[in-house]
Amino acid sequence: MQKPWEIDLTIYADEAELLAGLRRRDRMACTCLLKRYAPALYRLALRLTGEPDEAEDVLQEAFIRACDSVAEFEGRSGLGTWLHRIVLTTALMRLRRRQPAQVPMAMDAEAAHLPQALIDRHEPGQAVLSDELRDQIERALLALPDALRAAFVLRDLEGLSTREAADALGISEAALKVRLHRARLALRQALTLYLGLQEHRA
Amino acid sequence: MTISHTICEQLRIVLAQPLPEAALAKLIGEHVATCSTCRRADALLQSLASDLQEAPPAALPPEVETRLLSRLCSAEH
Repeated sequence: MQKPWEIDLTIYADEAELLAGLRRRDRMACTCLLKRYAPALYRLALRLTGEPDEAEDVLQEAFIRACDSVAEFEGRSGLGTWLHRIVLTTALMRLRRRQPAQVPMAMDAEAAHLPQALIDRHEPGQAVLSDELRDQIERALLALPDALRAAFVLRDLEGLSTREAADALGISEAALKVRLHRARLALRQALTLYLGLQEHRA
Repeated sequence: MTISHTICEQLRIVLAQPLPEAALAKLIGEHVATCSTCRRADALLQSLASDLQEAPPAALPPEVETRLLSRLCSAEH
């Protein structure tokens, strides 16, 4: 027996038709919406929450909110941008409900190393990340405390301004800047350790 | 390329200061603005972040997609 979500995605290949389907509350339109946008949004939710189960919950909540409130969507941005904003807001609400994360005051001794291997491989504007290094950065990102990870994701990955990121997290701009620097140092440390091991292996 | 491979000890000292956040942010900002190691490191990280941002998303794990679709359908009906 066919599951409700086992559908032909081409029926809503066009965004305007998809939007019309969502407004008619067509279940297949909701399914198409999720299948089309969920992978990128799951990555965003995972980067922000740091936990697969929670990222899944964020997506569920966000898609239900999107399907319920599609009548309010005015079409000033694309559907993907609108959904992105809903997922971002949903994930941040969850982060803010968590216990405040411990923000380390001091970095470990190796924190600010700038590995030559990283410099050699990733001169700005030149290199594209290898899959392995990309995975390593994702892992390092997930290992950061919530407060640091959220600052880095919003500011450096999502491209929000300092003011916007601080507002989103409900903290001062000064606090955002401090968290961002701690996050960057922690990532530098993680990459240093990884690339050091790689060099040792080679 | 010539760049110091040493620890930016000064920034670690700055970050270890038990100061109010505004004062600490000011100190960090002043430091990074004048420290070539930190500026280069931040530029590299931003470059990495940009690559990360533009990377195509991995496929959603099938079991996650199935659960999400099932839950979405249940919520609707």
